Formats: sequence, structure tokens, C-alpha cells
Amino acid sequence: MATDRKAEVTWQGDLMSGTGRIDSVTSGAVGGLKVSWPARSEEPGGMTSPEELIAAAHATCFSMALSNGLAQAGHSPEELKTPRP
Amino acid sequence: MPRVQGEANVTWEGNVARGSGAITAGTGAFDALPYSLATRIERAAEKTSPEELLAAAHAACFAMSVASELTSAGTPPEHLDITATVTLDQVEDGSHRIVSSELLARARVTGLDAAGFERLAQAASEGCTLSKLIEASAKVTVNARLEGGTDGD
Repeated sequence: MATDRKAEVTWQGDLMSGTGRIDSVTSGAVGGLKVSWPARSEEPGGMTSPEELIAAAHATCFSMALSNGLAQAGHSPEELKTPRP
Repeated sequence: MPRVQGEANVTWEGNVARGSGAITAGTGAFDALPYSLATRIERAAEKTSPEELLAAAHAACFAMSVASELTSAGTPPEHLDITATVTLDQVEDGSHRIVSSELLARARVTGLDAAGFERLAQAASEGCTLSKLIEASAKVTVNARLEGGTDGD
């Protein structure tokens, strides 16, 4: 069975001086997250970016796969955690 | 373009079927978003998922690329609405794969016709780093629609 997940972004202005906002996602878990080119390529200043979101996608996917792999090897994890830098 | 890195930290507790996790952005833009396997493949129920985060990444990346293409063409956008829909599906060998990301761009732009916008939106996806990444193993489609025009489909 296919599963769809959607995200909606609005953008105002040109690339260098404009800003965008991730307004909504299917789950409602996030909304109103701002993005901009200077924040993406220079100092984030608390703003997320495509690269950070894909890091988040990858980390969530990997944690589920790792949990599954450990369980199949007979070592169900109590907790998996990525260390804070 | 400078070297750009993104970072996110997760915690996961319990087994894959019934456990759950939380994801935090390196920038602090979001903190402890919940996710789980059940909500990943069934009803989302206010929990995010890898596919939803990928959709957000793709939509944000594509929005910047469309803004860039329109500006380079001398017709910067007044307003863009971008939607990305990522689909996870079971493939022939029984495993699950991300099979597609469908992009929709709706724009208010002065001095551009529908065909011109469609062409620029296509070029924007070709220049979008996330489209490149996804195209390595899934299909990316682009739909473009000018708002306030007479081409409304």
C-alpha cells in the first residue's frame, strides 16, 4: 500500500533576498518553519534548510532500520541516540 | 556555492513496530518532533516521518530554485506556492522504496505566460539539489501553474 506525505511551502521574492516558509505538512507535526538562501548557505540563525530536513529524514529512517536490525539479531535496543556535539 | 551541512539528532526507544522516536534540528528550528513506524505507513496522527521530512526538504529546495530561475529570466516572483508529495510504496521484491516526489509550483508572476513558467519550473527542478538526489532512485515530476491567469487547469 502506497503512503503519501506532503509538504507545502510559500515563497516571497527573489532567491537572494526572499524568504520561504514551510507552512504545513501532512501530519501537522511542523508548520511555520522559515527558510532563506542566506540561512541555507551561510549562517542559519535558527532557520532550517533542505539539507537539515534531509538529515532529519535520513536520521529518522536509519533509526527505525537500526532498531529493526538489532531486534532481528536478538538484541532489541532499549534506546538509540545520536550524541549531541 | 559554499559547502552546506545540515544536522539532525534523534532518539529512539523500543522496538521498531511499537517504539517511537523524536527528532531535533541542529539549527534549533524544530525540537523533539515525534515519529514512529505505525504513523509512518498508516495515518500520520501528528507524527512526522522520513517521507514527510523529505517532502519538506524537496519543497523548500525547489522553492528556492524556482525563485532563482524566475529572477534570472527577469521575472521575479511576487508569490510562490510549492507542494511536494513523496510516495513510499512496496516494490516488486517486497521491500519498501520511495518511488516518487511530485512537485507542484503555483506562482503569481508579472510578464510571464504559462508555457514560459512551465519551462522555467522544469529547469528549476533540474537545478534543485534535492531533485538530483531523489532522481537517483525515484521519479520526480513537475507541475506548474500560473495563478490569476486564464490558463487555469
